[in-house]
Amino acid sequence: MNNQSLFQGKTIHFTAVDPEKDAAQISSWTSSPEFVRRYFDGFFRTYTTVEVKKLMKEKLKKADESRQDYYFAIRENEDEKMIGILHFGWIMLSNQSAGFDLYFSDHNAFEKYSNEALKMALRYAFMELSLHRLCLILPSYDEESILLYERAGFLRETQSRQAVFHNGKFYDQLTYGILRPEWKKLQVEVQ
Amino acid sequence: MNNGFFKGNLVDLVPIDLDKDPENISKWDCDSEFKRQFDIVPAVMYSPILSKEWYEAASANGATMIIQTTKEKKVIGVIELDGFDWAARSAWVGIGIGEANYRGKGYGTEAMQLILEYAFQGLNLNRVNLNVFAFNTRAIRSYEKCGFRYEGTQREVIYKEDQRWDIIDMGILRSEWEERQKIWEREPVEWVQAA
Repeated sequence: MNNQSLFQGKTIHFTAVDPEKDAAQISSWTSSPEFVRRYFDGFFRTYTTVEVKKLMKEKLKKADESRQDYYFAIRENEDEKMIGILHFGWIMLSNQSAGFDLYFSDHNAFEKYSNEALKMALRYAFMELSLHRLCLILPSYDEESILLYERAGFLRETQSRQAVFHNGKFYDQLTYGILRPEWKKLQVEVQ
Repeated sequence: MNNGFFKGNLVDLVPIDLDKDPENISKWDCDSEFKRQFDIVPAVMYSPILSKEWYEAASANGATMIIQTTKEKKVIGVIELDGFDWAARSAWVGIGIGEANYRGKGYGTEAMQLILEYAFQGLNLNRVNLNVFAFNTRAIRSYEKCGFRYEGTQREVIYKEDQRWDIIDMGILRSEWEERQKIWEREPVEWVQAA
């Protein structure tokens, strides 16, 4: 067995999300429409720390019961600061298929940590969850993320026209997917 | 067309009868062909009690309706508009014809046309999308008839019968639906007047 840690990286590590400790920070993220629409509750408004605490507790309880969602807090190794959230959803173990989102608190965190966080997320998906397929949804205006996932081997599979409304305009919504054989091939090439 | 959104020639869309319908739906659960076309999770049996709870929750969140034939008032399927994004004015639709004898005869297609009219004319949506399993060619034909367009293929999402299967994404925009209405409107009006 490869005993390289699933949760400990060079610059970041994954822990549980702790509604008591993390709610204030997540509340501050809700001023970003991006965060609320894509990763939180859908309807864009700000959420108070108390609301976030309650919502996160409900989400985590549901995740614990159904085992169809997993949440990880992404923290800096230096000072434990939470800089993002990794969420696996739509997990269907019988189909060996799941979706995921990777959220970063700001542009700086994205630049610094997105490569390592994605690498760890993919290893977890294919080597621990033993998935065959992993996918995510991106809006067509998020060119930075599109580049990140395309570089990591994801393929654009679907394009839902005008499915996203952002800054006063309609954009397309894209599904990106990667299959285990594709991911494994890239691992060999890297080594 | 003015007698409400939910009345068609072959079928009406009616509210779920939470006392009677869960029993019908439980019966459809025993039809594995139906189950495999309707849902991606393993085909399992839900008790009428759980079915009832599920439909209670579903009809509270989205617009879930029963498809009932206009003539003999037979409950033949279920249709659901849900996943509303009120900023993008979009939603997804799901449909299943549980009664095997009523498949492939236009009942589902008409139910879908009714819900699209409701979505665009009643709810002011800009877009409706759906997923369909690639092996369900009959459904894909029906959705194309309603004006849905192919928007891509999610590869190898389903693992059943020792094989991987794709999921097809389809969508229809309000502008496309309106274009089609112009074509459809002419003929039925003349036909009604002649009769």
